[in-house]
Amino acid sequence: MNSNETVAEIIARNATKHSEGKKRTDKIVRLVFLVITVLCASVIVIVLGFILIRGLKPFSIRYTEHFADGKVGTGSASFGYFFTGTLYNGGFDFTTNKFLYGIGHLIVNTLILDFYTFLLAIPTSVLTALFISRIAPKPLAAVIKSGVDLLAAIPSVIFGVFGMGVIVPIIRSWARAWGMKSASGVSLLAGAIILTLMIMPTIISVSVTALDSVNKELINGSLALGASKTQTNFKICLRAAKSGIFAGIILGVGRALGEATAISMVCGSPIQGITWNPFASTVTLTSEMLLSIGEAIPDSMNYDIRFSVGLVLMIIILVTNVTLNDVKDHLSEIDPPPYHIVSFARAIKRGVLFLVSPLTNRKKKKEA
Amino acid sequence: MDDKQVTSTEEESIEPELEVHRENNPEDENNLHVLFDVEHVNLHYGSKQALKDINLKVYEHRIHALIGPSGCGKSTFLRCLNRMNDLIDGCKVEGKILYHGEDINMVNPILLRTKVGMVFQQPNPFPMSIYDNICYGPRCQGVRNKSQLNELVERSLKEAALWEEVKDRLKTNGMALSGGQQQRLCIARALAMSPEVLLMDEPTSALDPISTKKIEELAIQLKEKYTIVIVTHNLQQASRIADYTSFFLLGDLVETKKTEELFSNPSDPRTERYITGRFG
Amino acid sequence: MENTTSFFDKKESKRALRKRRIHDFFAAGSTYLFSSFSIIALIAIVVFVLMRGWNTLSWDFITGNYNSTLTSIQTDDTVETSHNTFTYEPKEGEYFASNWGIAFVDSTTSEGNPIVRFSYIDPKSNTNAWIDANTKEYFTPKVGEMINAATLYESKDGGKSRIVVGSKGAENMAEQFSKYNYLKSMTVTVGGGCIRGSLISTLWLIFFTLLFALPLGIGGAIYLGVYAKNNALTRVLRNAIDMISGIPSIIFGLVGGIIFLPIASASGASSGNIITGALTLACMILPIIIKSTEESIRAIPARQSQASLALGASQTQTVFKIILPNALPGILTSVLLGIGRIIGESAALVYTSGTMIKDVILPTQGSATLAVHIWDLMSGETMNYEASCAVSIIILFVILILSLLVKLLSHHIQKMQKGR
Repeated sequence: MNSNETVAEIIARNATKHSEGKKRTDKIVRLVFLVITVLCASVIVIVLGFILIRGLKPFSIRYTEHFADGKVGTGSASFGYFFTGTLYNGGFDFTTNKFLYGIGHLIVNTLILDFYTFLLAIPTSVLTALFISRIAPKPLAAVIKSGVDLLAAIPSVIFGVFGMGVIVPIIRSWARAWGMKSASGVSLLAGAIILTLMIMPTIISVSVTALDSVNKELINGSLALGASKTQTNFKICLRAAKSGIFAGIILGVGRALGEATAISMVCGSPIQGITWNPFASTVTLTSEMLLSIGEAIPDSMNYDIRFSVGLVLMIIILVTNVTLNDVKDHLSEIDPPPYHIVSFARAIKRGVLFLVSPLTNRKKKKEA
Repeated sequence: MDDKQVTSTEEESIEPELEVHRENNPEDENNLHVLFDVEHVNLHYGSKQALKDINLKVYEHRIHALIGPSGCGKSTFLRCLNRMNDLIDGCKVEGKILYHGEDINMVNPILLRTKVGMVFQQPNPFPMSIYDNICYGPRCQGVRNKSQLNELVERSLKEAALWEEVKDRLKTNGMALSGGQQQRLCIARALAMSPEVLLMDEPTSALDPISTKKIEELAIQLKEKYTIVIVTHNLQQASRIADYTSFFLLGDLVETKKTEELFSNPSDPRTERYITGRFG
Repeated sequence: MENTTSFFDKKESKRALRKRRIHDFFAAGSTYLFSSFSIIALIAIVVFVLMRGWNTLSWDFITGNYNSTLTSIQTDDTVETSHNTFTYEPKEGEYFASNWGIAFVDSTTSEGNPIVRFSYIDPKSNTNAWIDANTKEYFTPKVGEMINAATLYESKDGGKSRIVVGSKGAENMAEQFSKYNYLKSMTVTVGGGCIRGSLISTLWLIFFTLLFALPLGIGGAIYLGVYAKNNALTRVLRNAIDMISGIPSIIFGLVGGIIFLPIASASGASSGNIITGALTLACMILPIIIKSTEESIRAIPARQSQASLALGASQTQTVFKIILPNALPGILTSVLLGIGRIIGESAALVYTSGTMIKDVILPTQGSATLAVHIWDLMSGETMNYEASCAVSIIILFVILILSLLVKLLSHHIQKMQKGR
């Protein structure tokens, strides 16, 4: 570099010399970032693809397994028994040469657990959100909000320890006091309580946001008609924010369905069959997947069938999400017609539309 | 370019000369060098047309003011001159803009923007020290020499009349300055690139009257070395500092004239109505 | 007018008002009641974990090995022992041998078997003659170490001897120690049940996860925040990234195991190691990093990057000199949130980085993190609440610090935005 060159000369020289190169660099850098983004986004495709392919493998490929009594079985998993069976590891059917793995009871038990969970979680979360957003004095609301945030950050394994150490003994004593049979308190109810604690923060924080954005005019209108503050909160605010609250519940469902560690601790001892009894132990899709994973040998039927369970779990999550989203859209309509179970078909249609929405949106835009 | 390589010592000796030159300047448009020659420029945002058939000449070493009611395309037009509109999705420019006789669409925008500096409506110093703010542009072009940069910072700040106020605190954050100082820092930052043109997009609209006055004085000083295109809402400001003034209305360029002429003897009735305050 | 009753019938309206007030009281009261649940739960978790784990938590617990070592001890005959009578007021559950100056306490091993531990050792006690049978160096017993068995003599030259075992309890041990003045041999279990290995593997896991996730996540955030036009491709990418956060971690574990483990074993590492776990977790925390970074990129006023471009800087220079430095608080937030997620994760790691608790940690070998350590302790035959709670205290403490830092950072970001 010539030291006599002034800054202006250097700038002019370099700008002329390098600007084309910089333009090229810009294009390359943009491409690199695009590739990175595509890579990030492809995670979902890879995960879903692997779950789908590996989940179907046990039904399409023949496995050979040696049993304790010296017999050797070769075959694939029975598709029918998989959904209808109520015995997870039902052994091998030598007449049809099929492995009998049944998860029908797991599916129902998972749904039952989530049903109990939402029975507890929805009123608690919604009322807490209402309290934080509209009723509590500011400092108290801040304290509860931070508490809820902290609760959200606690790892599920600690919830599991807490559940085993506190909730399970309490349930055991209740069961004794009420003369119910309970497997040492490890139960459906314990699972529901722990899950409630885990999904509450999600529902609360989304609901608080929804309640905070309720139009002030609406509230003033209600108060001006002589309604009390509490009546306004319950009749106007909750109603106005219902679609937002429902969005929170949808997020909560996703988390509740997928939770594994804590559930396997507080309500999982391998049982067969379906149970509605809150004091009985139960086993769900996720806790079955975690059970005795250490003993499973890769590429064996026992290992690969877990992918099929995972696939079923993903399908359940997807279907509930799509259905609930549809209910939410339905709720946010101004004058909704009554919601029928028939609408389920519409929900599925909307779900498919949602998946391809980026493409259809564009078409609509073009038309406009 | 050569006459602009002025070091700080030379600058003082040249300045009085320039003063004289300015006073004796015969305003004959044919003698002036045309810096920007804008021909039939149309600009669309999606389906909306924002500029309609603009024709305009910008002369070297003059202040050219663009006036008109808000939302009528002044700023959009200004951003055409250094191709900042390229960055906006769905913005399409048609027509020719010649810079020194060369179509700017053929020029690399990075190169163009080193020659055509811009000062924005809101003061926007980078959240870094005053020194680094000024060095940002030159550093991006590969100027690394420390003593040259030091010199450059001093020269640019002096040109922007900010040196005396900040010379003891060059390491403080540029965001800590007052609004007027921030805007002058932005001007200094643009000057550090030794541009030929400064585009100013309502540079004083966010400032108080005293800061505004300072920037106006600065603009008059700077036109000896640079060409300035300034968008302003303020008719008084245009009449105070501009040599030429163009009046924009709803995407049309109504007329361009020498400033005194435009304000005293507008040829278009719309211009007259606007400058007498009857609409806009 | 006289015939019509007043619009405000006082008696009626009073009754209605009272009814409404009672109704309101219960309605509002229910929100107080229910919102106290989350706080009560939080307090209950913290109190439970502190109560059960605090006594176990110590510096030795954090820095000690998980696997214990057995040490055999002999007596060095050349050293004079004092045979004094030591005085010590034994606490409840402690049994004191006054001729030795040692107190014993009943305890359990990490497997849950009964054992005796030292609970007090007099500074001048007769243990000064003890040597490690292997190394022939003097052995200083520490409080908390477990005594498996000991052979005791009546006098230096022999005489009556007696073997005591730790499984018989502390009372028996103290009684026998009181009767015999000489020790022929003893086996002591030193250390064990501690978490140094799991702590180190957690740190390794955090390091590797961020190493994999940050470049990808920040790159994605820059694309979405700076370059992406509002078109179909961008919407597809956005939807896809949003959907990642909806996948349960156990699914990530399954898929991570099936994708990364074969690669790991092909490259010579043990299948299921810290790096495969980190790769899996990196996929999991990508949406967190992308979201938080993109948010802070969007918070940067457009005029900053416009100013940079107007100065003739290229888009690349603008990204690296203006946008990235300004997005730093957001990136830091995403790192903190990511660390919180990594520390707490267990289900995905069970499949991908193994459940074995180890003391020697190599990134190419499988080992349990703190959360998986708890899972291990709790899923065995007997549950070790003390150790699990002690580990939980550490995790909770870190998470508390992390959330405080996140709050401070978001406060800082808001302040910066107001400043502009």
